[in-house]
Amino acid sequence: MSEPNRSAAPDRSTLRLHAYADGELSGFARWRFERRVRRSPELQRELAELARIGAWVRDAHAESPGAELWDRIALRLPAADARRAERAAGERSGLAWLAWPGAFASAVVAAALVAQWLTPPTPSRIGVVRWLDSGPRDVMVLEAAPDTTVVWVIGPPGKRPTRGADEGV
Amino acid sequence: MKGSSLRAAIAVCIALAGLAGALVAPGSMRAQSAGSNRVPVNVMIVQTSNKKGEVDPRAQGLHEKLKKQLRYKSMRVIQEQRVDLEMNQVGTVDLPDGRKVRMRPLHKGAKGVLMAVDVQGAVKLDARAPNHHKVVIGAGEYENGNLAVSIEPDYE
Repeated sequence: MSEPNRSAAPDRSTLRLHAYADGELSGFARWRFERRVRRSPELQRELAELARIGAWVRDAHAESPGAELWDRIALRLPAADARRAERAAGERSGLAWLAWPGAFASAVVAAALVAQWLTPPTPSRIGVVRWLDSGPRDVMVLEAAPDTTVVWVIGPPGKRPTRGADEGV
Repeated sequence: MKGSSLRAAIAVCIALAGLAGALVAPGSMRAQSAGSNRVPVNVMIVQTSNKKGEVDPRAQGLHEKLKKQLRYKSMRVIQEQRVDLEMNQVGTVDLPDGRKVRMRPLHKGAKGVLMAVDVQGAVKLDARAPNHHKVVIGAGEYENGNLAVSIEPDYE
């Protein structure tokens, strides 16, 4: 069950067929090969096949971009660069309108900082008293005026604060 | 032309930012100068009473602040003292009934002086008092009236 030994190299008949199709055979060899083709339908079919393949190759070469196409593309590249530069310039000029409003906003911020610097510090809403311990006594804390805070300890009537209860500050 | 106007606007922005920085910088310097160690404190001890009487002229300013908040008919100044303290230094003022008022500045900044105050036997407190802000502390009863201690930071 061994397969017939087929050589990958084309045989002599195929080589002559390709040489004939390419117009490489000389006069006598050409006459002899044409006589063989006339007698062999298989050679005629292969010759027709070769002719069709040649036509495809020629068509494919005709459709591929020629050197002039790349030249045209190269000529357009500087123009594309120029258009890109114009577009970028247009975008910059589109942002230019922000310049003066930005300057105005900066001036407002500067004015706010100046006003904050010039106005005296005011007591925060947290209040002046941050921590307080009156022990068991009630105490009230009053903002009597913007510059005055009252911390008033309310003791039971007749009960005096103990002396020396706390020594540390 | 548009480029030059843009550059001019940017220059204006930079100039304004520099101006703002120059104006803010003295403020921070002012805060730093406020951070010097000395904290003079004006202390006034007064007695309020429901007996008819006068308001001591030295306490007239305090009376104007308190008259709408506290009920009394007379006010006399028992003691007036300026206590020159350094940071974390404890200053002591004696009350007429023998108790003591102790005060210690803990921090001085743009929002004033943070002080720990202890009115012996009455109240302990921490207060952040801006410069010339009076903290008036009721110290309890004294001779048919009440003692009040006014503490006022007074620094440059």
